[in-house]
Amino acid sequence: VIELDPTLLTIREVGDDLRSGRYTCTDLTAAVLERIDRIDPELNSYVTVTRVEALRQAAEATAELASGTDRGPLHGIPVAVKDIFSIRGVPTTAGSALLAGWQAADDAAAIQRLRTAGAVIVGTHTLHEFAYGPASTERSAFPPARNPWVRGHVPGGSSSGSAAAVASGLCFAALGSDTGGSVRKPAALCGVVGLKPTRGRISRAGMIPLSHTLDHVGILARTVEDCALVLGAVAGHDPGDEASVHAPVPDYRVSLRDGVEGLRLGVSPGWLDDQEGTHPEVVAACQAAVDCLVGCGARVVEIDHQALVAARDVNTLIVAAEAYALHEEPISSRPEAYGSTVRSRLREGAFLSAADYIKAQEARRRISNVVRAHLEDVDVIVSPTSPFPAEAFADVDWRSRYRSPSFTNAFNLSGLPALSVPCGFSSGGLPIGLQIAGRAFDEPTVLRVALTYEQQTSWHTRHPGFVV
Amino acid sequence: MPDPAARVEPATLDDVRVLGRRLGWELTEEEALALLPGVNRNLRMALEARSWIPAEPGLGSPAGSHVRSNDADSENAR
Repeated sequence: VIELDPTLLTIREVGDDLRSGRYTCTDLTAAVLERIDRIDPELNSYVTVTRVEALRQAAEATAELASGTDRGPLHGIPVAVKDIFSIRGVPTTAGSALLAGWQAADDAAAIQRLRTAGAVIVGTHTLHEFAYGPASTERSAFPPARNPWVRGHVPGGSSSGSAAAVASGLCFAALGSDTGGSVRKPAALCGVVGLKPTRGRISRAGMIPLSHTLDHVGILARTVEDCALVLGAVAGHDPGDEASVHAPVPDYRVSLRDGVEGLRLGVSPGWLDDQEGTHPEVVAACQAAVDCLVGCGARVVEIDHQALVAARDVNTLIVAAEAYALHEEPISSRPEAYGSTVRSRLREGAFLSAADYIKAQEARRRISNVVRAHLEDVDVIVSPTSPFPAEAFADVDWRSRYRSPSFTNAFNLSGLPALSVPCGFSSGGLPIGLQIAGRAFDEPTVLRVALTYEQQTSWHTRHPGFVV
Repeated sequence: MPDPAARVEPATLDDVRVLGRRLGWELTEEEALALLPGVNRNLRMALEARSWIPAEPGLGSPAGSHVRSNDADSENAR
């Protein structure tokens, strides 16, 4: 194993090293596997480590590079995925005892794309049960992932293990799922970048669903550029996903460094106000981030946040109805296989009527139209990602989420792209994230704003103390 | 305006037990009690969501009959 600390490197930096022959893909994968062995017992970020297969893929990637075959930026890069994606020959649990022993026959579409891009898949990540469970310690079939910054705190969810692992250098990037913020919120709470692209941009085929009309595949990485590199590899049309869209996939690197001069940031004063239930330190960090972008040449345009606020309840209703429909049979025949909180949440969906659901979808359409109308007047909408930093496990009350503002839901309802970028730390040493959302398929502008901000700050260069 | 046809009375423990039985659930007392707050929260949210939908002339209740589940996708693809 080489002397290497992957937490200090980005995908681009590692790619340069691999191509210069400083070390091989096999060396790199072995180093990541060694870190997982050493650190993950403290984090529980992995469900399955695919050691043998990862080393086989890495050897193949090494041989290809040596013979002049270069599959692009992800060639030989160790990555992992939330344990909700099918991987041929590997158990997929979705964090639930219900799926114990189940293995998919084929790779999910996004996994196939990772393989084609030459990525090395080192394992599957812990998640909240069926991406719908609580962050608590005792109600799931698997132990919860821990926040690497303060291990007695939650990493956020539901892509909890993915965020913890990326932040800790236990992989360079991860795929998660995002139905109401499940990529962006853990990214914010663990101090990494989390992108939920436009619905239809990345295929969901082979991903265990929670809500057919709200689920998205998302990406977690340590930097904005790394996120762009992974997006370039996994985006594209797939007939296996009915939401997948025929839209050209640009090279997301091209405009990353174009700056924000003249761009309009949609900011709701109500969203940067601790009177609305957002933690004052989150408000301060996000306000400072907006000021920083203004200093780089962007300007602020105030937007109304009524539709954005209403999105939380509508998102909740649609997920409740669709998740119940998906689980209708097993929640009746094998209720004991679910954790008690997920069992309760799934059953709650049965009490919604068809009219409730259809009208929630109509409200969704109207809210989405308001959000799109905002984005005719501004280039991006900026807000906190999470209203507060990571809570201690002992303080988690999952029902309290319905009393707090949600900044992420509007972009699941509308399917518009949204990204969380680190923008500071609380006084307790916990990361804070800034959300940047944009127009449909305009990930390049979202990434560009995020990278401009990232370059002005050093948040992304910090690493949790215990993993360095 | 909330839809006057929507349910405005909160669900009761009996409602939970009755629907649970119909769906084949064997709810313990504790499970039925645990369900009630979430059920009523969802029903309140459903009522609130209707405030986004104007009344459809002649029907006296909010519109909603023209919804497709993939409306967001269609709009984004334009």
